[in-house]
Amino acid sequence: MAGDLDNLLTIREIEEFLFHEARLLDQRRFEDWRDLFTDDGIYWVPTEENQQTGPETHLIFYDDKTLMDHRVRRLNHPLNHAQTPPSRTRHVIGNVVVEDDGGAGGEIHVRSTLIAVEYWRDRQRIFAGDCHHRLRRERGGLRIASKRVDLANCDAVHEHMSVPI
Amino acid sequence: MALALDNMADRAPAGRDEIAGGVHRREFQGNWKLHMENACDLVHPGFVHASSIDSARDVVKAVGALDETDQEIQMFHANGMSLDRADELNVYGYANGHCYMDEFYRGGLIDPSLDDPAFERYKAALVAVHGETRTGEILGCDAFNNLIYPNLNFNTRFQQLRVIHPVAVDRTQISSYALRLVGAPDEMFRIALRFVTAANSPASPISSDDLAIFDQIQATLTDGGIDWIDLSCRFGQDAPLGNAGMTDAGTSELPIRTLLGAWRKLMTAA
Repeated sequence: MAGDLDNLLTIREIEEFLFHEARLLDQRRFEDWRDLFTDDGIYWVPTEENQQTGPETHLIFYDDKTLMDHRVRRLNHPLNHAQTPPSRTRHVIGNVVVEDDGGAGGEIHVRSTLIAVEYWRDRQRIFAGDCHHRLRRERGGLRIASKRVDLANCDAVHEHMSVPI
Repeated sequence: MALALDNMADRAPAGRDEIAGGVHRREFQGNWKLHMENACDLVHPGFVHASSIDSARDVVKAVGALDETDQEIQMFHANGMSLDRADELNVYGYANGHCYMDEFYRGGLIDPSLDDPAFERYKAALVAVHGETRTGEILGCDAFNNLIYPNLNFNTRFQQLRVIHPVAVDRTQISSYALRLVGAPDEMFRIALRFVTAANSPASPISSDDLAIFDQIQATLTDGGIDWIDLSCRFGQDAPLGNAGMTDAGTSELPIRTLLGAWRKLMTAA
């Protein structure tokens, strides 16, 4: 019983964390979003299905912490033409599954389903995909060591994508 | 242009390139010519890419030195050259619409005289095939974007190939590929992949601003408020090259006039 309850609490904590991350993106609190990542954190969105390794192929996003920092600074820059006007987004996270709880002190692997809607200059588009988060317990809370978004249309032709998915 | 095409193959120790690791496919709501004009223009980076240049400068300040940042940051930073610096480079145009521009990436991982162990192994593989002198010539080919009219664009230094697909008068798709130099160390392909992703991914901080501006140019032209765009910058200052070519300083609109001149010729032929 105690084990089940712990399990439920862990899942609930992880869900809260993923919802919080989604909310930060929708509220354009990009610095706070960046700070959810560990110092060696990676955010990436492949162009191919079932892509497990990072820099071997073309990648829509492949940001280490420095590139994330650059991206976030640019998102707040007044001459960011691709964000004039700023995109409005809504992220919905569901089907949260803990693939691997990491045991004691290990990385937690969480899979979830994402629907994200972006509205920009009279155009609205929808992204759907699986998110793979690898989470670590650091500084008294959860931190993202890796977030990979496997888009259903990863290999489609895309208009520019300025805000992280 | 034949020299640049040959250089793409010569840079591979085995003498051939392979398209590898997928493709980036992008789209914008504008005419295909806008993308070709942009790829041989040295004036726009300073203001169109101001957000990624300023952010790169901030990151360099935070990190301490340009050489210690990522390849991508070095690229974003390099776009911030002054117009005076652009005029130290040259742009080139040929009667049939082909154009190219000089290389302007310097420093760190994007420098042509890159000094690291992988590059030394790569250079040694080339020397084994071609000898020192010829290898120096191959690596010294310093053209950046090479445009083969009407819709092919390639970069020999970073092994990148772009094909521009006109879909409608106001809709264009671009396919961007990284090439693997057959016989070169894997690290060289990784540099090419990072280049194509930083510059040509749909999420590229550089490309996003270009595509957004193309949309706006198309919308402005469609509104009918503007009849003409002035493309006369440094008109009449071109110097002749061989092969019916012309060259001028980097801020010249010579390449754009060259592209549109070829377009007019083809559209009025028949």
